[in-house]
Amino acid sequence: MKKGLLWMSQGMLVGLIMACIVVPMLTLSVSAYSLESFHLKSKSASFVWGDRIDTPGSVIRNAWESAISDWASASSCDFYSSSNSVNELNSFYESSSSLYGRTKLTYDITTDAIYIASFEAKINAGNSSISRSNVARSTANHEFGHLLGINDLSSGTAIMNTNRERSTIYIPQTDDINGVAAVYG
Amino acid sequence: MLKARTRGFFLVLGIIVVGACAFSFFLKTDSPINETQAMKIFYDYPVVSTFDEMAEEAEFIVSGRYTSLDSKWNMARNPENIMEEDSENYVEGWLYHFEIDDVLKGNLESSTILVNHKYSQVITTTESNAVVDDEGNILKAATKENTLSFSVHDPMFIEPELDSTYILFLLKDKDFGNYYAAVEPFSIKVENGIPELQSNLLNNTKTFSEEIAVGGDRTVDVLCDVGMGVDDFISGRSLEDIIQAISTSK
Repeated sequence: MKKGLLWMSQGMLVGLIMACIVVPMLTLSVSAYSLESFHLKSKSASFVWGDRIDTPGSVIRNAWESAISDWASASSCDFYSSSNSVNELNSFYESSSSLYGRTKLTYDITTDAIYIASFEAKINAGNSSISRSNVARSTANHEFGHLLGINDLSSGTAIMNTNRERSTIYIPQTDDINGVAAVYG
Repeated sequence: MLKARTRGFFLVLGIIVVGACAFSFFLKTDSPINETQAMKIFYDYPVVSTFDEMAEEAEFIVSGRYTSLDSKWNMARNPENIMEEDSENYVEGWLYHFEIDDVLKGNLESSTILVNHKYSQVITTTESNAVVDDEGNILKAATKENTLSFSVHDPMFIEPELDSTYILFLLKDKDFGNYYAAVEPFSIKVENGIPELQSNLLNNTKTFSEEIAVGGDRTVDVLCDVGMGVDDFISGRSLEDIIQAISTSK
């Protein structure tokens, strides 16, 4: 009887140790995203089309439109065009450059530290790879990820992976979606 | 019954009048400009973490020396005619003469090329007293505006040392004929026969902050974020080993 109790307590101890090791590993494997210290106030945000892409049809305008639809399907995000917005989606032409895109955010560090006050997200039409299949769309989805409060990663299957293969990873992936869910619930 | 109706009518009228006055006051009130204090810029550059990726992404790999600075130019171009500068944007590039000793990858006939290094860009932002809702819509138009314009250094820029030996991993700009960084990092300096990876992203540095004076006592904190830093992935490798690795990667 005593031996049985001893074995049981030893078993419980081993179980406890394994739980201490396995549970944090499981937690780590489901949190393969990194969060920014700030983000949009809600998953719904307006924008104006910039002067370089105000008529539909260009590679970059199509990329932004696809990315809006991708984030709506992935995380119920609603980026909508409004002529009355302080935010802008656009393109720029930077030659002799391998830069894909650039997002500029302003925020108030004293009164509203965690929220983006305005953004300007642009894709580089001068990058020689931008017209390759899905590259512009991958860039657009990546820039939206920044606005939604998820940070860059250096590895993994994620739109926020800076080192991703842009022609194959071009829509938000599970880790990106989990990251946005962690921000907005 | 009639009295109650009349009372109701005047009550609603009163509410409308007060509401209209309040709205008109709201429209006319001048609040101060909401000054920009901080800004973050995310750059989506192709950053690699292994030597093999670096060699794979480059169309040309050359060894040689920077001999002089040729000129500074505006890399921002008019998308309608890229031979013209962009009238709205300024991105400064520095073009260096580079004398080639060896072409390790790609077909290059010239022994001297121009290599572009992006140096800085001008950021313009307009601050105002507009009232904006949570989704970025302007509820009350601005009555005061102020445009800030300042130059921000490119986080990737490292001034090359003239007459030192480098191995560069490049792409060619087919419109202008010059060469530029294929990826980041793109440069290896060879000092006394020992290769040294050149990058501001070493030691996994990925953010760079600058406090920029914008007139008077005011400053704006600009944080540039490149997304990922890199480890020194050539550390411990010999020059011969690197040249061998390039020739097998072709």
